[in-house]
Amino acid sequence: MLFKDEEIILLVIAGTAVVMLLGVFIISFLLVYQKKQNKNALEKEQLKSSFQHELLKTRMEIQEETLNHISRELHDNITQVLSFVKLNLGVLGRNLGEQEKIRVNDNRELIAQSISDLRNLSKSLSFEHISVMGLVKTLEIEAERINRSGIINLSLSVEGDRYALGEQRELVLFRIFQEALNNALKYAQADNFKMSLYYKAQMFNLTIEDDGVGFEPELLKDKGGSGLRNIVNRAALIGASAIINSSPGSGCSINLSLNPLVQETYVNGTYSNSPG
Amino acid sequence: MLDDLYFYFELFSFFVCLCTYKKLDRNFKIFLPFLAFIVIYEFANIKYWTLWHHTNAWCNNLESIIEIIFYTRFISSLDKRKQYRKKVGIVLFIIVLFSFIDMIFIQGFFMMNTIAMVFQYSMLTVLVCLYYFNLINNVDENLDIIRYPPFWATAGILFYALAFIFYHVAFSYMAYKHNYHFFLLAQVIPNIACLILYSLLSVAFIYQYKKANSINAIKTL
Repeated sequence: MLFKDEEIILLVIAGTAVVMLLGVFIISFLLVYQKKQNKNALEKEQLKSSFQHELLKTRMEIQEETLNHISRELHDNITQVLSFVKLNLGVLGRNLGEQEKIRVNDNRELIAQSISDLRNLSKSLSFEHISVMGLVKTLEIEAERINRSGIINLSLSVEGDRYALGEQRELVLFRIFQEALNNALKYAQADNFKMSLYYKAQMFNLTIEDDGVGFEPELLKDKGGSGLRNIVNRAALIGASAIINSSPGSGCSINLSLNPLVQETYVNGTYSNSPG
Repeated sequence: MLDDLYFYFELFSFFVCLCTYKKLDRNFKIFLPFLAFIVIYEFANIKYWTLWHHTNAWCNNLESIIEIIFYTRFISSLDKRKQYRKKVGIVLFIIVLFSFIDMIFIQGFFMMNTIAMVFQYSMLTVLVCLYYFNLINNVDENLDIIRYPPFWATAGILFYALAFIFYHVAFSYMAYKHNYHFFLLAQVIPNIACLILYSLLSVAFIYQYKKANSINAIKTL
């Protein structure tokens, strides 16, 4: 009988050990399952963000290609035609009287001005000029062009030792400037537009300010501020952080900062002629 | 001293619950009166104050009913489905009813109601497994299960229930034969079960406290 009792005790011990192991298995399974699920969720999130990134890159590539095409058309077609018209007017002027000659010359000057403006516009649209001249030079030319037009007073200041940020980064920064300028002219009704570039050893800062009507900060969260969101998205694309501050009646300021030493993969990537 | 090891774990768990009480959520707050009851009950047991007709089995039977009601309510409160909670309530009612039937008509008031207890612990095991199944299927992507207080509390209940099932299956047969080896087993298994349950409950309280603190910190930011 004692033997039987011992058998039962062994059975109780073994049974308890087995069910306890079962408990350990259940808990371990749950932990492993949850870990795997979290990993999957993370991967899904990463894929989603990488897809968004690719989408943005593609959009900007297409935009750049379109702008470049327009720029070429302006430069190679319209300005050439205008040059030909200017030349013809010169030839025509030789056979006219003094009074008519003055009129023709005035028209030639107007055409020359249009050609010059179109060339400048073509330069600001094309990425090739930025890659050749660099960001600061392009901005200086653009500032000069805008100031000459008299639509807004644009001031540009550059501090620190200038260095190249990379073709694509500079192009994106230039497009951000254009977007901000467009906003200042179109919506803000600003009189003054100020741009400051700070070149530091480990940080590049770009500050854009205007004295326009400003807007409610909530606009940044709304769908309405697509131009402003574009600025933030473009900045993110080159690894920069963009902070936009504004309130009604006090203008708008955009502060961009990026570490020039950190190279984003696409910056050295295969797209040599676009920001993407 | 080692014979009463489980009591010290109950006491420890009670103090952890007391210290973290303010930060505990509603589901966990009810642990304080329950643990206070358990500590008082076990202390009375150790001091032999619960002996009646040379046995404390009657007291054990009543305590196991209170325990099953409490743990079942706790586990079902973790589930948001009203229908499910209602079903659990019905099963609990049947188990409690059976426990009283066992106490009055089958095994008796002064004997350990091991049949009812096996059913009680089996039910707890099933409930915890169902809770885990539900957790797997409806888990929030941001949920970190390692730091999830209900997970630790239910894990403790699961081990506690599993440890007692085989013990109670053999109890009626072995205990009343006064088998020395079973006496040893009767010392070890409850100690281990309580050690696991109250340690994991303490872990759950601490994680709940940490979670509440981190939420407060985020709110003040």
